[in-house]
Amino acid sequence: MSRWIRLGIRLSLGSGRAGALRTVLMSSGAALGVLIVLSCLSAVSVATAQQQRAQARTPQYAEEGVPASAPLRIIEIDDAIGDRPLRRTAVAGVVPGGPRPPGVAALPQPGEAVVSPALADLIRTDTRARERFPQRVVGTIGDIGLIAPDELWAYVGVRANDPHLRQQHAVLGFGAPLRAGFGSQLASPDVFTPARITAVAFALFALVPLGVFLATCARLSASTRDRKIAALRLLGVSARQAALVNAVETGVVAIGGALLGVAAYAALAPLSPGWRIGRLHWFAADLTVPAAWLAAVLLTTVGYAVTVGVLATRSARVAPLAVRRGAPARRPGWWRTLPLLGGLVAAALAGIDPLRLDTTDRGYLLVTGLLVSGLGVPLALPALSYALAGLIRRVGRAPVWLELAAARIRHTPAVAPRLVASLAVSLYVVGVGSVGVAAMANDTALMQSSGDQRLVYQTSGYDRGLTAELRRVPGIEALGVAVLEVTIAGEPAYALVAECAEVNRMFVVTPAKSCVDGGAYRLAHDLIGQPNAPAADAPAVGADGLDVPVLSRTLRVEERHGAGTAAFGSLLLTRGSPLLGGRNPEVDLMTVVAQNPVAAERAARLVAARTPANLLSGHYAARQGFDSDLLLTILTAGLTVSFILCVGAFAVAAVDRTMERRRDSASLSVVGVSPRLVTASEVGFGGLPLAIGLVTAGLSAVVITASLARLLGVDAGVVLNRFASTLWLGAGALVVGLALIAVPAGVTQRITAEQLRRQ
Amino acid sequence: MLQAKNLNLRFGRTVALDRVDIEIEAGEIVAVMGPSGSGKSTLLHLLAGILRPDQGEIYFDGRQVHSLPDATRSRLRLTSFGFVLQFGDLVPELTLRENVELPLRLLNVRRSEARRQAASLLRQLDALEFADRRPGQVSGGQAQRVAVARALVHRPAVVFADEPTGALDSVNGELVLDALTGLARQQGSTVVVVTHEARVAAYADRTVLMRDGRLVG
Repeated sequence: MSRWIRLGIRLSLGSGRAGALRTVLMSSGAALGVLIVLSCLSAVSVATAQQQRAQARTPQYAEEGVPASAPLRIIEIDDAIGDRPLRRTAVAGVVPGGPRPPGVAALPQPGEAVVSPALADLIRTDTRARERFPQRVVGTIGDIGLIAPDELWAYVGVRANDPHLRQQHAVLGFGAPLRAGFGSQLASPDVFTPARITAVAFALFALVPLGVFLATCARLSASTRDRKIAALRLLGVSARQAALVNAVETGVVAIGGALLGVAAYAALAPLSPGWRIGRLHWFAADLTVPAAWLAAVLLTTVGYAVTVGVLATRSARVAPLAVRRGAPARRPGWWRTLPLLGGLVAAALAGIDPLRLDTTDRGYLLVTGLLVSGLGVPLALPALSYALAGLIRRVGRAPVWLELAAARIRHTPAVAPRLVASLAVSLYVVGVGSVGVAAMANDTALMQSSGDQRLVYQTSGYDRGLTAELRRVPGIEALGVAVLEVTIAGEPAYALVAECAEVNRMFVVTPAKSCVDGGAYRLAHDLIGQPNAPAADAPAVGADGLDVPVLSRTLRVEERHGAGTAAFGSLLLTRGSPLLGGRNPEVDLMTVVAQNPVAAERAARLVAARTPANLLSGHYAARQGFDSDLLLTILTAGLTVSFILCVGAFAVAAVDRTMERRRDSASLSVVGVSPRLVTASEVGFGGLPLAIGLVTAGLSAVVITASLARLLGVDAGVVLNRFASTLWLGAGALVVGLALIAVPAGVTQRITAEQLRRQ
Repeated sequence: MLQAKNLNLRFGRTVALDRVDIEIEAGEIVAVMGPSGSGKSTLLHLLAGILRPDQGEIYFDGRQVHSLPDATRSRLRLTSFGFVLQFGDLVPELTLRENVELPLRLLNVRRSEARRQAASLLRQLDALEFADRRPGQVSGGQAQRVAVARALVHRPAVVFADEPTGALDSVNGELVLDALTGLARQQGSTVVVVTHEARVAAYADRTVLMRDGRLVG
């Protein structure tokens, strides 16, 4: 046996320039593959660790009210400093021995703050952070209480009677499960946990394209290797011995490449905690790949490459004479389409759910369908290409170049699909993944410009000092209104209480200047897309004996800056109206209008500093939650990895194909076939399977995304609308693919003496 | 018909052709003989416009060949020349019939007419019964006879044959040479055949000898 191993090693190490090129390409492929797999596996462990820490600090709320035994109340405010998200958690009712989140020695008292180390640094160096936190920093949060080292997180102490915390339920402890978001809707956390999604993304974005990439590398110089194996068989080497030689030849290169990948990972991992992928940052301790996983990755990569290499040369071992004489390959069986069909049926069943499965099982079914379909696309391509080529030959009116292309596809039905499989898989992966990215991005929508380019926010409650300060900021308008709950003819409604000046700033009032302080009015509005408030055509009755008769005067109001519930008022009672009976209700709702982002940032600082428990809600650049950010990053990074792998595989295959075809192309050129026709037939040879592959991949991605939308209860139409960009991508992939086939084929048409000698 | 003056060609430091002059008349069958490495195949490649000389001139029917661009020389090969190479070099993906039809299809002959002409020639060469097989599914002699048919189907002015019987036994070799020379004479085509076998040269009207890149007789 050792002599066959030696022969395999000899063949892998010294086979001329083409052999050296193949060795370099294949070992690079294995190295890149192992590096990516290890990186992805460490991403799974990072995501799991971050998820656990995020859950550990999530408050567990009491069912109702504030029991005397648990006075702690919390409100979490999402803010941002520049493009960095900031979570400000206002706490009240802190008592010794009470619950506290991990990493926090003691929760802050009013006027104090406990912040993450990154935020502490920022407070020292950045005015925007310093002005947000005028409190005394009494401690920092330990690593165990943070998701990542760069996280901006603060616990800020506020008074127990803070109006913003009045409505909050008591906190009994920390460690509640996270709710995950998809688009603007919440999904069941059982289906949509970050660790699970990371694993799926890993499988989808890395394993499937990586499988195609490694298979491409393992099959480089396919016809040359086939001829080599066939020559050995004709010399008297047995089929098993030839398989062993081939396995060793492939295995040696794959092992070398895989070890190179491990070395690259070992060198890069210690440096990586200083890096970030999008918003994803990690602690060094999270970045662990167990030794058993490492061994499994090595074995799987090498085993996969060897298996592909050995299986692919089966025909040369079984029928060496046919290979030496260039006999046509066997027709690909229709069974090749079954995995694709099976995967799509599984995904469709998960979406339609005729089996009445529970959500988790449907999730597993969808993921299974997704992966099987991904693998099924390249597997089905030879059969589909063969069928199309047969159709072209039967039509009989095709141009010569297309006939040549069709004849080649039928002669070697697996060659062209192998060339284009990576791009087809790429479209499938990007098609499914981009819908996920788009949905996630929708959840974290940033700035939206209002019609008049002003930025409108609201804060709850009213602070006279804050309002005065806000009004002193250039570019800020602060408008306040009190909202009273009333009943009109048994229906709940609202009466707005404000001065006419405020009303005129908040709304466009018709007739103009018709609001007079001291007056009371029925409000009529016609807000597009909003249900109108109940008409005040009956007396309104409120708390504390408020009694408003049917009013005769009506103001028509249109939205200017008054957003939200203030616009739903049925009545307007101006300050000083006798109907208020001496009441002077406090402003509940303040609208802040900023002329530009700088003014908005200034308002955010003031609100955070004066009323830490207050939320500046609106279009502020604050991303919501932990999960969607992480998932968005993973999806985007995965798409990038997938794209690199697939385009790399295609480019490698295109170059290899050109090298392999030079001899055949030279034969055609000798007899006078024009270079243009030779190139056209090469383009047709790759283009037909490429078109089929892209169409198959696109349709499969549509089925998968539609099923995913149904599973998550998201409107399928909305999801599929985003698919238009994938169609453009498919068209682009077709053009790029054809160019990558045509350009090398075109530039290598010149006949050289060396090619003639080989003939 | 075909004329070469002072042809010189080097491959790196190796002199492949050294001051070669040759003239071939229309309808003539010329054998180019010589030992391996003497430059006979290189001379054929230059005369056929496949390679360009470093120096010297080549004329076909009074028209310069050596200075023509690649695409024009390809067109010339397609319209006016035919080729029979040592291993046939048929397109492996096409059936034998399609291989013979190929030059006609490339010259825009209608498919039905191409099919008819190809079948007629294949019948003359006793190759019709296996014409629907591919090159890899027939013997070397059968494939070479089909290569002869492909070389002559479009009635070229010159047929270039490079060791056409080099891979065949004597019986099959004779069959191929009979077919090649017989059909060429019938069509009035010139034949330039490169060989190192005396029995091949016996079919020629004239034999030229080469050694070390030079014509020696």
